[in-house]
Amino acid sequence: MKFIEPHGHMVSRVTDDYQNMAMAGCVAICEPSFWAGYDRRNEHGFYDYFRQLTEVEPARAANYGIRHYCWMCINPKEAEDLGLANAVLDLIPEFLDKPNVLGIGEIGLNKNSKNELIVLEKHIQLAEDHDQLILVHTPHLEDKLKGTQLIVDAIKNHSKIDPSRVIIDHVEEHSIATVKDAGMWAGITLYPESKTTPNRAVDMLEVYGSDQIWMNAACDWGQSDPMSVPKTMQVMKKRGWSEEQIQKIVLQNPVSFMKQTPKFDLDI
Amino acid sequence: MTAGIGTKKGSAIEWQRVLRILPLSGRMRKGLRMKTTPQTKVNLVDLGFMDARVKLIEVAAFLDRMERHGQEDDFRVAALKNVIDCLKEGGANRAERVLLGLSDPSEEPIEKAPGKGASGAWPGEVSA
Repeated sequence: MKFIEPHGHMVSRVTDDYQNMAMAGCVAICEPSFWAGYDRRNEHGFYDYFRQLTEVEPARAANYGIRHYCWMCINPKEAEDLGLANAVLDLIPEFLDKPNVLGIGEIGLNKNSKNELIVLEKHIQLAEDHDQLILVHTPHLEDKLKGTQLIVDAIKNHSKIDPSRVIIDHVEEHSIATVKDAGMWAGITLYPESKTTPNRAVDMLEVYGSDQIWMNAACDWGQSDPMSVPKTMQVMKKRGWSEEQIQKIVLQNPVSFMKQTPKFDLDI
Repeated sequence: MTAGIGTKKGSAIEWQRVLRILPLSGRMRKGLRMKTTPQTKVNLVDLGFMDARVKLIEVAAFLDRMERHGQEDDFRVAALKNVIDCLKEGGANRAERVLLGLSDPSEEPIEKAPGKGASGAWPGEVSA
């Protein structure tokens, strides 16, 4: 079965991961901008990172027949420094015209601070001004409940933003209803420890339905598994899901969301 | 910014209060229902019992270890012990209730991020 990895930080992965994902049926990977594991000293580090996302990774993925798309932002983990954040925000419009850039993301909150919220607001405004899709990161662990509500409220304050053009990622059982009730898409992230296991992901799909929802590995430099989507597809199969039901979640839904920008030109 | 809960970090009374004041999600408000039904009905007990068994014993062993080593007063251990009560309740929303019990229930943004990481349980204080 084919699948799309709608959230993978491939700059952190070795080439073997591209090969394994391709062999498992991956046809496209979408890579949001994120925190590198250390704070970059200035905007020049981001400029080079954005070049990596728009030039290097598409070529690396193409070697394995995988289409590569990406999202632009400064991650909330680096949003506490407003001077740096503003300098990076100024760089982003130049990259929005690149052919594989789908929108603004992954923006959001990390520790739910005032500066993080200021930078989130600026990203939302940028998306509104440039008519971009939005991909949102929600905080980790004990900060997720509060952060999800703050993020949803911040986006709803922008009446020109269509909620169906926003995906809120890393939902769990205590935050998914907030997202779905707001009319936004929900992303379930499959992590070995800190987010959702395959069985919990399938539980949420059964309870909340298969519409406006996707699953991703969010594989990066931390403990994560780029094969977690195909592994969850196996769990779905074991739990009695049909091939059509599985394909809707891992292929058709990501296509439906990302086709809202004409740049997502994948022919399935 | 937001008032603290006002009881000792990680105490049972504090956590019971947190669980009471946390908002009910849309699913809990609307009642539970299956929106996607797998095409084939399978025996989910066969599929998941051993996995659940090993994880439950692992939690029990972790709590034993904390007690033996005198580390059971850590707010994370206390939070874990308090949310375990949810496992005995019905409603098919145990995972949600456990997550709510481990979450920061405040609503206002904090003044400044204290760092980048998260501990997995709310320490019972709200930064001003």
